[in-house]
Amino acid sequence: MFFVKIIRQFKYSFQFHANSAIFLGIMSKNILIIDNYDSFTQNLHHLLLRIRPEYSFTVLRNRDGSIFEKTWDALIISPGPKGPADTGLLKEFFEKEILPNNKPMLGVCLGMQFLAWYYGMTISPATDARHGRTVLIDVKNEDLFSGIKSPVKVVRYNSLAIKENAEEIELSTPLQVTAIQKDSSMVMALKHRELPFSAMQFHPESFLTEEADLMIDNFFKAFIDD
Amino acid sequence: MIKYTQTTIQTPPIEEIFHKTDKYRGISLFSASTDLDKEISGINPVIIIREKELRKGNQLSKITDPLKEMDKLISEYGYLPEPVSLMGYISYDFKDRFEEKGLYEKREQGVYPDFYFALFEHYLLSSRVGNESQLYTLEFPFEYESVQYNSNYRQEKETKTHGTSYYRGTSLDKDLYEKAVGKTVNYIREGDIYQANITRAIYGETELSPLESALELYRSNRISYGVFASIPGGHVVSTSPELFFKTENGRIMASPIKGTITRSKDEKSDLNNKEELLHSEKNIAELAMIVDLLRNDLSLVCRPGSVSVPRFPILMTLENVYHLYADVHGELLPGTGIGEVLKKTFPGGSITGCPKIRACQIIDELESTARGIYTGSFGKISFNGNSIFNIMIRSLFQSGSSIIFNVGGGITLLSDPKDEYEETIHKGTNIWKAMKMENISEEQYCTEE
Repeated sequence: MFFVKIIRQFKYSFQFHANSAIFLGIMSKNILIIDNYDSFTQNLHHLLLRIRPEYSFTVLRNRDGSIFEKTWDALIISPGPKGPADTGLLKEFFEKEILPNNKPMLGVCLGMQFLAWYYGMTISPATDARHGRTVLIDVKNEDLFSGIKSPVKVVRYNSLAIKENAEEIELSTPLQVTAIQKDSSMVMALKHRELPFSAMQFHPESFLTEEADLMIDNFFKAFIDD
Repeated sequence: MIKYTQTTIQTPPIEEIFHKTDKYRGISLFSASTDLDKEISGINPVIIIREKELRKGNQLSKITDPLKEMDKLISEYGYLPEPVSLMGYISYDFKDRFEEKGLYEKREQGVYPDFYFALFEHYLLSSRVGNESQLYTLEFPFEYESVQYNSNYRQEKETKTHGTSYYRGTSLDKDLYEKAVGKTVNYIREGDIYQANITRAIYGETELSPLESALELYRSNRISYGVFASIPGGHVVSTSPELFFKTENGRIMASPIKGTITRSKDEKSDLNNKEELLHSEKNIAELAMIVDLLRNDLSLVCRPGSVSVPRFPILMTLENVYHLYADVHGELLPGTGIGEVLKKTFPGGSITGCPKIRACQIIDELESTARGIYTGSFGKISFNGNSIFNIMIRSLFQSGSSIIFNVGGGITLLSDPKDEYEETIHKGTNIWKAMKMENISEEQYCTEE
């Protein structure tokens, strides 16, 4: 563990390459970031790289057929415009590569809406649309939020939201709600009961979101790290 | 090898600098009415890069990637001293060349080239403080038409101009502009975007020569990233207050501004205004959005982990107004040329909206005409890799006697179409006052002066 930490720092300061991690006997991971033509995908990419510099991350757009040409260890779904149905090859990829193989998946904003939509929930314009605003969310001490004190300050950029409330989601899908906005009932994070899927409605990659490093680290620790 | 000489000359008046810029197809980048006004002017273009051609003096060759050619020239002439630079612009309409095919409409304004950078024979580095300026003259190793730089300009006794300009219409009238704003708000509600900048063009005819227009505008406003350029198709004058980005010693920086409040002579209400701005949720949210967007775009060319926002928000105190802004810094990936930086980051997020691609598509749909150079970027790249680019807003485009300038604003979920239309009129006021424009039909819609 200590060794890994040193390697991480080493890579961080010298543009160390993931291939070299394999050479040194550390298992690297190939992680796909599907970019939904968003303007925050690189922020997310760099956040992930900062938390796991020894892993290899590849950003490909949702219409890029080459996502099927490689075997990936995990999928990250970026935020993006419009709704979950307007995400190119994402659904096909999720059904072919992720779901049948129990591969880990992390969804951000549109990524979370995609997960809820996939399990039958409705995504529609929210009464409380917010863009670039910080809100407090109540989090459960589990999954992405293990060890994080509730409430947490996070940034929201979303006009759409899951129409159903937390209770309805948990009753009719295999998903569990792990965070809710403090001053409203908007669902802010989800996890799958059995499969390695986590998702957040807010933006961990925004510079004003607190505890984002820990949330991402939790995801890697739970589902991806060896 | 390009040879150069450096001479110290007496600082010419701004009239002389603009006169030479006008006469010898030059480009002047300047600031005006700030603490330390200075100008860098390129005179007589010898090497010119356009979208599909590279001209070196009298020789012309076809090229396919102008940004790459630009980076090649920069490394080839790396020994040229700092004030010597490639100067020019990318028009907003060039954005489709940097994106996946089919994402954007192909739009062209048609009057000016969409891409234009030049290396000049003379560079004048001047300042409104002090009497001495530096003149750099380049000698090229191929055939070209040379011009002499003479300080024999005689200022006309009467510098005040008497010409007027006439209003000739707009690309989106009140009704159409308000409809466009309404549709934008709808797109925001539907989750397509968080914000988009919707603009319109105002057309006119003027009796002023381009040089006179430039001087009138130079005196009209506080200008941080100004431009006067004589380019194929006509002239451009910009009174832009906005930086796109600058690079220095391998670092890149952007400083987005959002939110403005007027200052008061009364100390107490001045303090109140300041507090109001610092606690305005709307302004802080809009600034946060553009900061996140710029972090993203800079991350495309920066070392992972190096992009940072040291302080947020920061108060900018000017004579008449307070602004909110923030700095976004990053360390460029080794070997990244400025052509590459432009390819990845253009157009500037503050004049598109967010997410950028969808916002640009909505702009294509709702704005009836191509933007041209408006909301593109003018700037310079020195041969040591340092560069500076502006956002081409508050600018006048003059081709012969016909003039165009554009106005617009950022539309958010809570935007009111009527207020937004009025806001565009207020934004145009400085320019049409300077151009002495008559019979502007829009002014009847303004509820306050």
